[in-house]
Amino acid sequence: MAPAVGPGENDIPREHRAPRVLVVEDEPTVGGLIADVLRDEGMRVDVLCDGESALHRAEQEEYDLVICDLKMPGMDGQKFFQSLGLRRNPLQGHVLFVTGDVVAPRTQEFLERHRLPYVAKPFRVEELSRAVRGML
Amino acid sequence: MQQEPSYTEISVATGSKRPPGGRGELVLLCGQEDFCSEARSELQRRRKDLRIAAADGITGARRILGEQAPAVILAEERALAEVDGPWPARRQAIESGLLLLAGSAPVVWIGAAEQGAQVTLAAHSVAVDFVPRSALCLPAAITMVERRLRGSARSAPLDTPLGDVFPLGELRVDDLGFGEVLRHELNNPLTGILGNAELLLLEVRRGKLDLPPQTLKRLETITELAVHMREAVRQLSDRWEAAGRDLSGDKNKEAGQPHSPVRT
Repeated sequence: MAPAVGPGENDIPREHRAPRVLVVEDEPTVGGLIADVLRDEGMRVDVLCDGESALHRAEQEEYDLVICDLKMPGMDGQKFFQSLGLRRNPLQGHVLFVTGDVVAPRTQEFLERHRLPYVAKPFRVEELSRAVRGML
Repeated sequence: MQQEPSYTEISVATGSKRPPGGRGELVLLCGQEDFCSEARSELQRRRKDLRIAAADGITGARRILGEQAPAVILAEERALAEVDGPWPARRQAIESGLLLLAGSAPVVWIGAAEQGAQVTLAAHSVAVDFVPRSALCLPAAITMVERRLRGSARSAPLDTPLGDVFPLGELRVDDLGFGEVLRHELNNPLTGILGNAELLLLEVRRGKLDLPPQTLKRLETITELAVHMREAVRQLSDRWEAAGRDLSGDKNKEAGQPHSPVRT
């Protein structure tokens, strides 16, 4: 007898699917923490540790939100954001930044110029959850 | 008879025993020759000055570490475990291997995603980075190696006086790079401390975790102190930036946070 087949992921309307989030963070402890918080809220989460891999993944897969660290080796958060724009990837409008260096002039200038949402590290779990829910 | 794992020195420093770890020395620990070759080529392509010593298991790595003090170690799970058998035994071997290696230098290790989640001992060490095995894991691991190499250039042994690590006497207040490094080095670990403590408290409140009252109290204390440190770091950062702006004559800009559409 053929096994029973349930509805596939693609058969479920997007608004009824669990939100899918891509976390880009080079510090494994912080990336893992963000993933734990979001999975606990029923979201599907992938974690990558650099901008290049994230850019590649964002072109292959569908995500509802990207949570991105600003300071990373190689392609940092700013370059990742700009590369999304160059590729006209609609995810560019759904990036939440996390940064531990929010007072640095270069960081401020970037966040201000694009009016980008961000959460400052170290964040409380509730701060992160609220910011993510506000963007979904 | 079990064959003793071998190791190959590709190009290592010679001379005195255990020369001080330099920014250009790495121990590569691989269980499979093809992965080892790929890693070696990629590492040398990115950093031509990198000196690499390779081993195929912990025994070989110990031998290298007896003679050198590398700046970083890149290890693959198959070489860390060195034993076949059920997962609990392998996990124990991986944890022992990681602890041993991390005593000598920061370790970046590659393994299956589910293994990384279970090797908790290593995950909580600041000297160990985990990269889940995937098609892109090697470039990601090497990026982490580079980060560790950069870190080694500005780190020093724990018994080094602070003044030797950060030459405060020579530091000008408008050298904002110092503030940037300090914020990065404090805020990332603090995020981990605060977040993990809060997640544990959440589990207790939801009845998923049962802790003795005194342990719970300790967890609450960790959370409170982490929040206190967070505020202290923010205030110091603001003052540092403001002082730098005053000296550079840019008094029009106030130190502080940019717009905060989601920051609470």
